[in-house]
Amino acid sequence: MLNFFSNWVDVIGVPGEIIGYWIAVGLTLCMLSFLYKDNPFFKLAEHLYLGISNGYWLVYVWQAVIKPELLGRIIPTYIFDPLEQTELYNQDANYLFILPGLLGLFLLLRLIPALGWLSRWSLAFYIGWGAGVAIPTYMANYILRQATATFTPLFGMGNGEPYSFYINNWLIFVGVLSALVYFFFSVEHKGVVGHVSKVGIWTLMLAFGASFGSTVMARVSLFIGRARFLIEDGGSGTLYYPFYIQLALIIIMAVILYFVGRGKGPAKPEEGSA
Amino acid sequence: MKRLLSRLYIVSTAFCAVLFSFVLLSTGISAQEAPQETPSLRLFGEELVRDRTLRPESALTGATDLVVKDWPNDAGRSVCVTFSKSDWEDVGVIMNNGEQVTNLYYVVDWAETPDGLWIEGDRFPVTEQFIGDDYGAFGFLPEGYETTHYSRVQYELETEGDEDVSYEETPVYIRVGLAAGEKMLAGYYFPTVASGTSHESWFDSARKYHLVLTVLLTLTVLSFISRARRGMKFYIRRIAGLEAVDEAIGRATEMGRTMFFLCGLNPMSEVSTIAATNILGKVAYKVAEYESDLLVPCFDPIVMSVCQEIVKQSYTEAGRPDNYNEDNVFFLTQAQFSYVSAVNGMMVREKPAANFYFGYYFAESLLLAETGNQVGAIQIAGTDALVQIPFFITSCDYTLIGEELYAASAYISREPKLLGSIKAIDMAKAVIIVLIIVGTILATLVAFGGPDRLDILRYIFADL
Repeated sequence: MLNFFSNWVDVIGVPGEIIGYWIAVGLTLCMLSFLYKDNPFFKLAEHLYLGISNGYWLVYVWQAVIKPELLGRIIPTYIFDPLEQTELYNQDANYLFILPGLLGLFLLLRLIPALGWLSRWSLAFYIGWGAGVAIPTYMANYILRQATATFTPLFGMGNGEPYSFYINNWLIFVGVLSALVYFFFSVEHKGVVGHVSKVGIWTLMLAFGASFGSTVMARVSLFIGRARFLIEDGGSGTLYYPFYIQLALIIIMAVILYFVGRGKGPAKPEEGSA
Repeated sequence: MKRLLSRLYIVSTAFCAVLFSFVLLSTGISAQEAPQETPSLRLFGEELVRDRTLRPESALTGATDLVVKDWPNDAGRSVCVTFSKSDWEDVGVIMNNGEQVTNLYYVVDWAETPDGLWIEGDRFPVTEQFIGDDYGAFGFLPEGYETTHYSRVQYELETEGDEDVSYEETPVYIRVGLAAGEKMLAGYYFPTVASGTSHESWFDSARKYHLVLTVLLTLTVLSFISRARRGMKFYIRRIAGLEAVDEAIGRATEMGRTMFFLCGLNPMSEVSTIAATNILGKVAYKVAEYESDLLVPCFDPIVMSVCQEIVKQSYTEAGRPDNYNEDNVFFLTQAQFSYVSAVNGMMVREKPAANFYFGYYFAESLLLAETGNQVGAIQIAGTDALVQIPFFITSCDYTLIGEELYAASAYISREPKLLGSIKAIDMAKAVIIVLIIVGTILATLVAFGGPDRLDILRYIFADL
């Protein structure tokens, strides 16, 4: 018991990093408790996470966007580099940046019903710009470049390529064409088109299966990383919280969850739903 | 269209049969001619090294016809350096101080004056970077494209005080040397030094065919929209996931529960988000008609503003403007997993009867859909995020795959202009299928030793 308390005092006696680890472990367990059902621990972590992320983004947008990229351009002599305490941009004011600033302000005018219509100008500009930028990019990357990549020989003669090269090319050729036919919407999928589109959907499903497997492996690897964090103290190599403390935390949470959620098991799908 | 595809199928089958016969015939020819193959480069190299007098150091020449020009279609400050292939390159081995050197690289240096400080601008293996590899930059390939090296060298001229240096008037000097991997070979800078200038381009001429294709596609879309408006009927095939939208909304209304609609995590400038907001309009219209509740938690504040406008418009069109509650379309956060935790928390508390996931998703797709599945909601998803589609397929009742997401709004609304654009895009797909078949046939002919006629297609499709 004495040993326990001395360990405890040692832990509390080291501020900062250790307390940070404790908070991280506690919040991780709170989040994982959602696997059982909704509970006060999860609610606490959820609201904390939401609030902190919004606070973080607010500061980030101010420091990384509004201050340097808007105010820094319009009034450069007043905006300083926080590290070097010198002017961020050694150049004259560029008043053209007032226009995007105004469009940004218009978005906030939604809060004033009488002026809310001005926000539509900003939205129209933003969506129009987005579509304009997207069209040539999609044309190049999603159509032309992909089509070019399929220009591969299906047979060859004496050029030293192995058979697997041509088998791959056949798979690409048949897979791409049949998948394209599957995505014909204005043609009824019957007869030849129906058969080809079936090959297309099979090709797609095979690709999705492969993708599913590799992504699940990546997720398992993420989970292993988090489990190692819980067991090995965030990879620090120092045992800040002994195993029995973690075990005690889990037992306490389980007991509280039991009493809070007694008689309210996990929601079950209702009959009739898939 | 059906007749066109059938004819296409017959023609392509016939062509494949002819091609296959040709292959069989050619294979027989190759079997007879096989013994006459030339010796491999490696053997030739060994012979060369054994006979050291064949290529003494003093006889090693290169980059004698060095040319420096502006690199086309860029924002300036980079030049294109070209020089002819040397006869020793194919061997891949040279003699340096009595030792054989392999792993040879060309090094291209630049300087502001011919005798000034030389800075390395590019380094590439001696057997690579020929003009023929870069269709977009050089246009229709000039004579000798297979035997002319090119290099793109980006440079920065020193400014004098506050005055900007004119890149169009100030030349940059270029020389070429040889290196073995990272190590420069002593004395192997070729003596030729050339100079040139660079300038900014207003237009990217390499993409002129992209413009032509975009204009053609746009005209086709406009043409079909016009026909649709004049009353022409267009068929659109059944999309199972969208048939279930009405069913899901009806079920939620009967159960007196709310519904969730998510537009994904991409900003408003992405096509998937635009498609998702289009579908939101149609779903919100039905929800307004049924006087049910729809919650739209948003990841992006601008997407939220658009969604508010769309939902409000739908309620107004459905004749229920008073039922519109602006607070039902709300922003949560722009941090991926805190967004997920918040939506999941709301799901388990609200217990929605239907969830709609449209737009682009990342790792959160399974977390969201699995929670929705656990609370017993009917779930319909549609995304063009290829990696996430399998997760939606496994955990949702219906999933729209890729382009089905874009076709969804036309399918739900049956608006003539949307149906017309679907028809036009199908036509574009048919053209792409034909191009792929033609390109593959040409590539196959090239593999049989035929003339390389792929240049034109590659040039049209090049994207740099």
